[in-house]
Amino acid sequence: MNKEFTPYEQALTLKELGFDEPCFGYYLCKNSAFGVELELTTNWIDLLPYDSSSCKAPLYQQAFRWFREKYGYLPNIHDFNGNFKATLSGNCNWLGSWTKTYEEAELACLKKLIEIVKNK
Amino acid sequence: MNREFAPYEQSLALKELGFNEPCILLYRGLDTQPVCQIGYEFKTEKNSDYNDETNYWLTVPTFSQAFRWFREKYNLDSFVKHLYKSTIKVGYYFGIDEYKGVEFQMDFDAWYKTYEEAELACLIKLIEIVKNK
Repeated sequence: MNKEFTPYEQALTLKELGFDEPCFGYYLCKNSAFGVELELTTNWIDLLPYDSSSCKAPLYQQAFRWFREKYGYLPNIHDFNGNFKATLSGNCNWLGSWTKTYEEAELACLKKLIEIVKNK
Repeated sequence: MNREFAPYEQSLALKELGFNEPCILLYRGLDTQPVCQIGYEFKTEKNSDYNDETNYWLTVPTFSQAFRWFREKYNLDSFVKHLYKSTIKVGYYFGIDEYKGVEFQMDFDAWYKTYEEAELACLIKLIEIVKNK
């Protein structure tokens, strides 16, 4: 199930870009005797005492929906006989590199979306 | 948020087809809205955790989980894209590739006003394909 969620780094960037939709997952970044701990939790109340490094953990499909609805970018991941390629259509056109797994293509697509919006 | 998850009817059909992946949400009895097992730990459950033939408890996959399952288990790769007519975006359509069977299914006459409608239609079609296998 965890692979449905965007990684911490991208989730934090999405927060910076203004993503603020309801989520089931949250990354808690807390300082403890063991250093910084990152934790995926479903309890949003836990977010409150922690710093700005904590953030919501959107599902990939949620993040993609957000880019589609807010910016008109439509991501797709295509499977060509076990090789994968991400594409963006709609208000932009982009073709990603070949990847060995669906998840790699999905992450590449999310990174590209973030890059496009950051450079707007 | 609920639009991220498969509706009850499709969640039930997926269970009947053998879907047994960890999910965040459950349908409970006659509740119309799925419920979440909120806790400090990130908690997920499978249909087999309940072994419930009455379907009182039924796990609710996200759309992407369901599509992943069809892709990984049946090699059915699906997508939703914009439909353009004379360069004007009129809606969305879906397509399904079954690469090992070299079968390509796409109905360009069927199109949908919203992404969500196309996504649900795609899921219904995938269920139908696997049921008829």
